[in-house]
Amino acid sequence: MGSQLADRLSKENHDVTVIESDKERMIALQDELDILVVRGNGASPRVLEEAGIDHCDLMMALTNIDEINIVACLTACRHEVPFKIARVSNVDYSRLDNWLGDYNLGVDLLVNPEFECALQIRNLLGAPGSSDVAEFGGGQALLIGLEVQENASGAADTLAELNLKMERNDFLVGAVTRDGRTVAPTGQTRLEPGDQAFLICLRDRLDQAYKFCGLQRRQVNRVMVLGGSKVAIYVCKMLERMKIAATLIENDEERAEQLAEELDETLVIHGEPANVELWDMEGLEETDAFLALTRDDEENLLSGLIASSREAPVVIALLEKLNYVPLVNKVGVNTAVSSRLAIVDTILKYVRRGNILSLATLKGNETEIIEFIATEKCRILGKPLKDVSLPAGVLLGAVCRGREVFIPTGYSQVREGDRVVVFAGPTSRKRVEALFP
Amino acid sequence: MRFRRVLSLVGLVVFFMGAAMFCSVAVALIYRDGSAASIVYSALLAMAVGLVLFRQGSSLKGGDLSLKDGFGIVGFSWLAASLAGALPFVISGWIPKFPLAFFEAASGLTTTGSTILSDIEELPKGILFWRSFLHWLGGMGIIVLSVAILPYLGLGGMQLYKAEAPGPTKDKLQPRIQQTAKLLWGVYLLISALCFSLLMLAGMDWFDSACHMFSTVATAGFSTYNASIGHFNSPLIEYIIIFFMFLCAVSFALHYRALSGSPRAYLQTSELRFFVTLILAATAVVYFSRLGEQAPSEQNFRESLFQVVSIISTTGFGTADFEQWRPAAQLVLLALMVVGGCAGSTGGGMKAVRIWLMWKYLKVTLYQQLHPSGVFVVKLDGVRVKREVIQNILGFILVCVFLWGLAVFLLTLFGVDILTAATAALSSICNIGPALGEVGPSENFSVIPTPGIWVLSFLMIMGRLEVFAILILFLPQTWRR
Repeated sequence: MGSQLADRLSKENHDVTVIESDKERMIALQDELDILVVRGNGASPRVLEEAGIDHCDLMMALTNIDEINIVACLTACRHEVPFKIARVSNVDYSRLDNWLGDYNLGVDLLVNPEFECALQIRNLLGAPGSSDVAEFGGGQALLIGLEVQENASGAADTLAELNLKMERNDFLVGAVTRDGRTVAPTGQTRLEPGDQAFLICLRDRLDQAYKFCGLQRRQVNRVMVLGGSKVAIYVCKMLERMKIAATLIENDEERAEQLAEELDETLVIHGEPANVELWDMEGLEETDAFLALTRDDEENLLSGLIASSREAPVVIALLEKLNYVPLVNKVGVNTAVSSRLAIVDTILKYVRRGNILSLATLKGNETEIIEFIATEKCRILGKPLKDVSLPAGVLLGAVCRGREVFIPTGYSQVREGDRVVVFAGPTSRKRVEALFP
Repeated sequence: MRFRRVLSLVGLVVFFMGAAMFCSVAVALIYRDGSAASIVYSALLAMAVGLVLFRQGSSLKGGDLSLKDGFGIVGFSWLAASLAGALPFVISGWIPKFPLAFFEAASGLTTTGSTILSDIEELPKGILFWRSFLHWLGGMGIIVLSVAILPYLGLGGMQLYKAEAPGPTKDKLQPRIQQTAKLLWGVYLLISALCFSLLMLAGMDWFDSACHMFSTVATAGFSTYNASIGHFNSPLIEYIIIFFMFLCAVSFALHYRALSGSPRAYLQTSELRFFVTLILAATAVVYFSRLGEQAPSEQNFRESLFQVVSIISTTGFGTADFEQWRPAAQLVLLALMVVGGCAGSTGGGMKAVRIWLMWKYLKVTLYQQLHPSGVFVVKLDGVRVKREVIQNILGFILVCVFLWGLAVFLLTLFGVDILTAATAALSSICNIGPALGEVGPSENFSVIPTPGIWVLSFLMIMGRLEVFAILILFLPQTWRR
């Protein structure tokens, strides 16, 4: 779980020490990443001291055993580590969240990777076909990633020209992936069919953004889920609350009965996940989205491939092995989710200094989307944006003022207290953080 | 079964019945109705017999009671208590025939409320009080039996709530049966006191208030007047009685949880939601079916509601003669007889929770046809109901239907017509009181021939103990050491 984050943090010039109990994995980590690896049990105070807990600014306990993570945080509390994050999967422990202030249990943030992953899937179903979805401005603005189609109106002209023709600003292209490379769009950029365009869009204007890319957004009413993983349970519970009909297929009989007990509206089917006849019998034709969420990556990829060849409109696969991710689009899966990646954004938000409200990273694109609070120290306050010189590769995507959210134009101004959603290209990250001190 | 152990406990129950008769003696003395002496004789007789049985049986010490002992105690004490309860009727000479007196006492203790008396009002107050007091004692026995004892023997509706509920279980309010019983009696006394004072305030005298309170909180049905609650001709009294009949048809364990600080418990129980929905729906059907003959009025509505609650709570009070109503309304009332109150209440019948679970089971069976490889579980308040429990319910229903059929057959053999036989047997096994045909709300059971009276008496006791507890006594294995 931690290796992805360790890599990320190490590349951002943080000194990272990883505690790992498995010898082989420890050697692998040491070889692959530029980090220090200590071998031992993460809950043991001795090991933690050895790893230098006295000097660290942040401790993350991300083992798959909740209790170890909580104990490690208690130890860290003793050593006065300023910030402690614990991974907790058992929903019962999530209640600890409310006690943190009162009892000072020593945990500043509880993360539940499976739950975060399910949230991502829910967001993806809200914008079906999109590769990434993130919420900003309290959910009023959405970031979506769509593939530009042949006949797309957005590919007809340069972005500046298109912008002039629009009646109102409902969305904005903030980042583009072209042939696997990250492109920072300017007014002169012209979208090409096959580009992956990342747009920030007002929630109730999603349809316009889809049309811009030559797509039609369809409502998700029926979902088929493969596998009874933890992620699948969370997803089904969310779907139940959204009144979306879900059919879940699980091959273990006992597990299937457990699921049927835990879920109220979801139809639980006992059968082989990769049984195509079973899918047809349970109405694959009528499903709007196909979620392959078994514990087996290969099975998820293959099932996704079969489902998309049977014209399932949206296919999402759970992939924990990240080296499969580049394969995803090739086999017709719309997007992959991973519980490891799901917590990266949540944790990075805390690691970065400054007034960051939320943060999203994209798949296959190095642009980061960050929501800042504009404080009085911010240099761009009170001027029309056309008169402000922003660093290269930086784009203001949306401004949230009170309850109102709008996409800025050259004449918009940023005021103190606004929340600003910024697209930051890979080279401009430091300069963006300087912009919003 | 260690019969001597059982005997000593049964003796204790009989002794207690005798002691309870002194309450009636007090009433008889206050009203100087001349029945005091015969009740005193009955009391002394019961206490003497009880003492002898208690002495005959082995001491209570010496090991825990076994499961078989438990069945024996539950079954025999109910029989013995009915026998003891019949004494004042026989000795005072008001019901000289023993089978009829036994029927009356069993009807009292099982909180059924069927009577063989045609003119209740001519009875002395002391005897009338004893009839109603039997209800109250029976009700006391039932809530403890159904919440604290039957679940331990793996029987009864409340057993369903024991199934795998995590944390402090809902039915077992306290770790020990004794404490649970005390708590439940506390709730019972509280509701009784409340009902008594409201009836007093509504204009009844203390004797009528007490008797009708006994009858109401035990959801039983004996009145002190021939016209039942209709005698008072007071909407206020009728609404008060409706409220308390409803209250006592709801689980007392639930009342306790609500009283001890979580009133939300009422909203979270799906059995109660189902129960309330049934009452409302049935009232609507009955009310609208009667509109054909009568103009809409508050009285019509009140009568419909009263009769629906009276039947579903298995009380059996009457304010109107429902035999005069449309057949559809009568059929609805018959169906409600089968449903009965909630598990853990003083109400009888099959218990709402069983019907509710059967309904869910039916749905699951249908879904299964549609999705052959689907996995469906029956859930009660979010907790899965085990397959064995569903089987138990199916078995219970089957046994009830079988017993009912047998009883109807026997009754018709003794010359009772089919409608009377069928509804009287149903009303008895579900502990309601009134039925249709010759034993409708305005008639009484004196028309049934004596052998039929025995059949109905046993049916009432079986129904009260949820059938299995008595049937088990007929198994040879129970008697083997």
